[in-house]
Amino acid sequence: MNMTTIDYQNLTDQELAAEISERNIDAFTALYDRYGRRVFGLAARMLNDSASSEEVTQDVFLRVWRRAQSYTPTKGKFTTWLFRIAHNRTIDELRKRRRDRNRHSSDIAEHYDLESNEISPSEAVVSNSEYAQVRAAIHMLPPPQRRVVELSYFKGYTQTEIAAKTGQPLGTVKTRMRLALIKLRKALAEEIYGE
Amino acid sequence: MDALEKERDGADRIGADNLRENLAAYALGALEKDERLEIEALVCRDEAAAAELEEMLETLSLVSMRVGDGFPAPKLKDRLLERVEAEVNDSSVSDSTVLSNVIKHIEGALDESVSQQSPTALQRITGYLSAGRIALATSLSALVLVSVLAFQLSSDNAALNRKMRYMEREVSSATTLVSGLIDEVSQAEASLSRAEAKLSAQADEIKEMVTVNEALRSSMNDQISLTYATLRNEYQTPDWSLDSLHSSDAYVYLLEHHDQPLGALVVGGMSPAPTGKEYRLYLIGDESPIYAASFNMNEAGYSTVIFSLPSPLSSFNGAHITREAIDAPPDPGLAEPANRFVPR
Repeated sequence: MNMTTIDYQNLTDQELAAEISERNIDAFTALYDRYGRRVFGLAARMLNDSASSEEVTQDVFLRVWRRAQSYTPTKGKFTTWLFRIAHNRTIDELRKRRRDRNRHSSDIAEHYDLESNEISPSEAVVSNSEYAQVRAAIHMLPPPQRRVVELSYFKGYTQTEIAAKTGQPLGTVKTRMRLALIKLRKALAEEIYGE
Repeated sequence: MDALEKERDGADRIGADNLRENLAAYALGALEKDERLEIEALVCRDEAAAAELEEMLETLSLVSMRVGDGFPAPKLKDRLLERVEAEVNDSSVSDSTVLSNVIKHIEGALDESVSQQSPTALQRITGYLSAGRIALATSLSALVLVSVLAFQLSSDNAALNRKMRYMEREVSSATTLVSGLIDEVSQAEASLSRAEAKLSAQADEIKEMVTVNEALRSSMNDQISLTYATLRNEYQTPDWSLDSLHSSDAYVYLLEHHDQPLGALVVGGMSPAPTGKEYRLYLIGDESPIYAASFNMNEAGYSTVIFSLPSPLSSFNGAHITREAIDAPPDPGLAEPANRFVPR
């Protein structure tokens, strides 16, 4: 018999996505093994709640399973698509919590503080170099720009809410967001372009 | 480009520029729903904006990936895979359960037989079975599609069947109608045949009647000839002839007695006078016509009349036969002439 072994761990993200769109559970398992911890890590950073983070992670991967065929490689990297889903789902959870303050009275908004230099125990045992690089890039931002990134990307506030919260004009908030992203891209160019 | 177009183009650019200011907020997830929709519409029509947004999203995805790693509970993966497998099973046609069980049996058998000899081979076989399961799922999807098409065809077929049944009923009704018409035509043909037979019989009767008529006429002529011959012993025949005949088939002989002032009229072939009427003979001289005699035709179709002659026939210019009412006095005016005789 002519048989071949498929090593899904060696497939690229796009190849895994193609397999998943064909309902390949093994490919899906490989994808979870590759990015499950990172998706969970993002949710945990933003939500500070393990149970909710697991729920969000499960939802994210179920969406990937159900919508893999909607990913178009020509429109961008698979990780951009995957973490866009993860971030949006986590933001939804954050906003839901904000709307339901009676159930979640703790101030979760202050959980993730990018200005803090402290590293949690979990951070200490995983990918410290990668995390440090991103954290360093964020710390390179001027504080006002870092602040709008923190409030929007990690705490789920809209630009209008940020303007109200910080007392800055909306246009200023927009400009800071734009400049922050440009600087972050430059700082992470090596990661992005492999430079 | 006219002024209006320039103005519109400028407004579009300003609108697009304003929207592009929100690209970063969109990437950061910091827009309200309406604003997000505007950006999504913008990147659909503006490639530069789409590229800029993609760069921002790419940067942030890197941040998201590297912002932290975590250790989700191992049960999370198990739960997730259970959900996914459940969806696979749910999305397959129920019949796939049987096929899935078959695959599991094969897997079990192969596992038992191959694992003892070659674990690598088992791994390959398991991989193939996994691929086979995917192919099966694809096949089942195709089966669902084929089922839908079959259902559609079945629906079309059912519609065609209904139409055929309707047409069959129509044809049956038409056949019954034609059958009725054929019966009616057959009956009409039979009636026509009977009528033809009747006509044929009537034609035969008519022929017989004509034959009889001919015989009667012949007999009548014979009788007239006989009478004439008899009268010829006592009567002479003037050299008169018919001038005109109102009855074309009439035979008329006018005779004059040798010794006595008597005339004789032998008539045949004239139809009997209508009821209440009779024929009358007038002799025509220089003065008004003189009534000579009245007569009618007997059953044999002829008549012989002896009448008084006021003067020899040679003194007259001719004779007229008229048809007049029996009760009416003779009409010398010859109102209704029948035949007229004149000397040759």
